[in-house]
Amino acid sequence: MRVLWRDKAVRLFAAGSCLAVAVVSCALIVASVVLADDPVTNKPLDVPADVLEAEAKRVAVIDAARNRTVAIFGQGGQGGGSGVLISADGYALSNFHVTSACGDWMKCGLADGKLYDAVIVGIDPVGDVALLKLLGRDDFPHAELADSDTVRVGDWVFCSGNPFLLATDFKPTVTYGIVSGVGRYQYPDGTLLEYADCIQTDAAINPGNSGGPLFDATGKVIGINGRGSFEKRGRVNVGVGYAISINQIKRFMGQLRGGRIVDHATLGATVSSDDQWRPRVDSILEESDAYHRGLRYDDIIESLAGRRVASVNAVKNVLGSHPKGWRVPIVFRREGQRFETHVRLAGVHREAELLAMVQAATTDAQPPRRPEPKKPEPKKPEPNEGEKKPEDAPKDGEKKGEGDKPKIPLPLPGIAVPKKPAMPEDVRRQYEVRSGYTNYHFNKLERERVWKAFAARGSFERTAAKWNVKGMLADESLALFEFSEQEATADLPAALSRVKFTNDLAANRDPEGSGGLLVALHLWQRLLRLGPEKFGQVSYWGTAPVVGQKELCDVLVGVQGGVEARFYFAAGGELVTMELFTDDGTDPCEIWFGEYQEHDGLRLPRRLEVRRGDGVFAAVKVQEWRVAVEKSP
Amino acid sequence: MSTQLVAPRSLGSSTSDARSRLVSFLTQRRRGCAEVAEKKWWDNCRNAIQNAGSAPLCYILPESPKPQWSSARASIQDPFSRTVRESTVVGSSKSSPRPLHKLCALCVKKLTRSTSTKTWSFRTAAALFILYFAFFISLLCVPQAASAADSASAIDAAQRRVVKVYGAGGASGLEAYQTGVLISPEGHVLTAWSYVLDTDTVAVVLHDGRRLEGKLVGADPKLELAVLKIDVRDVAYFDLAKSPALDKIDVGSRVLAVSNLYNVATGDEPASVQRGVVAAKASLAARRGAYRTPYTGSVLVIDAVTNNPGAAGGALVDSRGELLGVLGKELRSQETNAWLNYALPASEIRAAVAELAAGRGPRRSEEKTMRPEQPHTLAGLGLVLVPDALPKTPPYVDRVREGSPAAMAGVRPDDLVIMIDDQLAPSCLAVADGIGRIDRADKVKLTLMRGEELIEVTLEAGTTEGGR
Repeated sequence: MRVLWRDKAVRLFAAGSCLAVAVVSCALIVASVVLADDPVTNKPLDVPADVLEAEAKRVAVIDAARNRTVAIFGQGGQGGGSGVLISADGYALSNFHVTSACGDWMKCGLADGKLYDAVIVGIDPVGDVALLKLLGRDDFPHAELADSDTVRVGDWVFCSGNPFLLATDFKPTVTYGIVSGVGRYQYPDGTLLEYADCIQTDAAINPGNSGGPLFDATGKVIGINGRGSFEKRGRVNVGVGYAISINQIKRFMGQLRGGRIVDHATLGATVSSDDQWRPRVDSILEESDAYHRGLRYDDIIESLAGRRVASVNAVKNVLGSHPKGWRVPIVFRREGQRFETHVRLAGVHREAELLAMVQAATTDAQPPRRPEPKKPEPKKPEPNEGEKKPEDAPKDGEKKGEGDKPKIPLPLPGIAVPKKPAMPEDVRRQYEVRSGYTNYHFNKLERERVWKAFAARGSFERTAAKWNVKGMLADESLALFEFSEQEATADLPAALSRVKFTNDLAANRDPEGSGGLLVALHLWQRLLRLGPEKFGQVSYWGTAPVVGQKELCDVLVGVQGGVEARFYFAAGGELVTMELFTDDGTDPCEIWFGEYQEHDGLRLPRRLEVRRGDGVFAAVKVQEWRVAVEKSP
Repeated sequence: MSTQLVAPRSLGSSTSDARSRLVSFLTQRRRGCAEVAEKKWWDNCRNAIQNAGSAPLCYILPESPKPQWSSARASIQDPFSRTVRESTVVGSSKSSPRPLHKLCALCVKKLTRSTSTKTWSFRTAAALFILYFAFFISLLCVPQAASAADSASAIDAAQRRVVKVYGAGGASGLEAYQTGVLISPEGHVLTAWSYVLDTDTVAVVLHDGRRLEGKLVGADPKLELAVLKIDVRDVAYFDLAKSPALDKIDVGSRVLAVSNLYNVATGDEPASVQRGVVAAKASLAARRGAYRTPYTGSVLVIDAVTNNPGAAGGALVDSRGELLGVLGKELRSQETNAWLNYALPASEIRAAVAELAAGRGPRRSEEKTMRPEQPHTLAGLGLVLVPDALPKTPPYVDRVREGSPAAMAGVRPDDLVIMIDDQLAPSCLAVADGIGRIDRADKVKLTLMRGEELIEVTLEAGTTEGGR
């Protein structure tokens, strides 16, 4: 009985406790809305609303991103890779090693199942980037570009593309992962296909993914996938893929849109690690701009292009992700002394050399060899080392002929390249061959765009043939300039200089020390009065920064009488500065135009600053312009 | 564990009592269930509480044993995702006590269900009280805002504790680099024992780019692990003693692998991070080339590709940055030939590594010891090594004299002497020296490498040489 009683008591007590707990729990459950899933009864999971929301968002992001992904095929439908649309009118990014196997034009499939013709626009063979344009629509779904400098290790990312050419209906394959590393440096194949400052991910990147986008969790493009560490396990993903950072591509975008063949930067100096693993200059070319700006053997480079460079790899990352010809800030140190200046970056290749290499990679219908990480070389390869590539290319072809089991390269090869199909009419209308350009048609488009924006601010067409400027120098002495098509005069306190123009403009460097101010003024007037069409040879160079400004300027380059003039236009169309290069490797003459004001219906600068190298030759405060508009008859 | 929901930091030690009682209660409950799934559930509850350590109870949300756990949800809830975490953080200030409520509610449900079929006991009642207690404690605690840097900092913390190791190699297929993890504030580095370390100067590069010389403290040829020592103080390190035991690591839990695979990172560049889950806990049955590997104990099999060159010695961490294991060398499965992605569990190697770090493991003896009056000699044992031509000639057996102790013990030509009496003997000179330290009356234990197989033999002088 006793036992029973005790048992009863326990039961009562337990039941009471249970009831109390149950009541409170129920209240809480109701309050927190979320009911826990009972695993035993297999009721559906009750997922918190915020998780569901995040999940729905992710699905939507991927869904949208898929539509922006391009499956690229060769002209006959063979081979190919991936790409991503970046504008409504059809511009798309891919890898050079994808498009080079396809030729001047290609077929592009979108997730909607439709196939579009596409034409090559611009290529960056060193950075392994290509810009193409899909034709036939002006409302393509397109992806936004992210700021890849804010990408951090551990961020969720996903790839979209056409690995192993799985998608016969062009619907892309999506793979998911995290950012494994940023700011990675992967050695080039010869001097091409260098991956500097790239993003490493463990999202699966396989052959065929090349050229496809790496998206962040919001569906913005942070990079273009193109490479993986494959060497040990056959040609499949080992969780180590690399994407070209989108910020690098943004720096080249102007040149790519201008139909150019882009080259990357070198310093004209090589660096190696010192005893503290800092980048130390171990050789420098005396004709390089870096040398002219004061960089010497044994100097320690602290920062380049606004980025701290603590190691040799960091220097390579900066140089490898910047275009040839840009002028970037540099900070270096010598025996405790700190130097700050701007340096004009040289190119990795000579122009003809780069063209030959591109030619070899493109006409050789074989896809290029897969990029393999090379053994670390202490120095940046000298330009002429790149000549290995054309020699190597036929070897690949031979191997194939021997009946080796074909590997799967990036991109996948065509089984057999059939007879080359004829270029479609709409492609032909947007394609123009010219030596030194990928597609000159697009250069003309960009040149027109820039000039239209400038000309919209007032036309100089009807100005007088002779222009006069009266101004005051910093020391309040008088400066007079007069320039026309035939001759130019500068009356400065130091000297009076006069130049009669002939076909050889490079011979005239007057006034002494300016680097050719009179020729520069003459060419400036010529461009303004005649426009790019009649100037002579004017092309769109691309975009570049000017000293002291973050925004990129559009650059037109005019070649006349053996000299080259570069004109920098700000976003609104204003001409900010011009540079006059002679081919002797000395510093160019720079004219900086400032304080624009209306004058006889024309916008003219009230301030002209003539700079050369690190110094200012003359700063002229303009008092009077005489460009008298001729009365119309 | 779905620990993305954020816990209050202020629950403190007042719950430790409740926690231990809760654990014993859960153990009790588990014993009474018949269904495997149910058992698993209780296990999960218990593990969750135990794994939480001193963490506040609000961390605890047992993973559902439901087999069809939605992969979408699993990935969205991943604690490493900054973006997703941000979205959960928004709601978490209001809803963070939810996990404990869930737990309590579930416990109650369990209890109420089992009452219908099973008898009550005092223990159950007591357990209910504990539930009560834990519950009210949870009501008292005020959830605090989450630190959005949680998982990013787990990655950062792991990267700071991972070092790059450079040594011998460089020839084709033999990379001269691997990875290591710091396991003490004084600079003990745990890494894979490989040819990379087979050199006089091993360089260790810390996360901040500092390059230091690593001295070999000891190596365990069976685990294929070695401990190096670098000259630093107060560095961030993984405390092996705090690493969770193997049975506390759930299959399916999320992990990060941090290593310098392919030597992608140099200098101060951070090591690469890959994400995955523990795919299985299994014993290692692997081969390198044609040879079986010496270690056949438990390993954590991972679904991320970690068998890349240079990854060996890297860290496998959980979402909180705790070291779960050390990435193993590149191996293939004996059965399927597949490359294995695995880590040696921290808890399994803890004791051996501590011995190594303390200098007590199998290692080359540096200190001078008393030499016996009548030591063994190579000739006396019947061993002829290859001619000692180099500063560090590998001690390969050239010939074995017939009928000698060595022959009796089964030593063969081309065997490589690895250790004498568990002391590393890396050169012909070291072998001669090591043999000379053993009294002729004692047995000599040799560890030999035959091909890639480790063999232990014992040589006894008395058997043939008599009393000479």
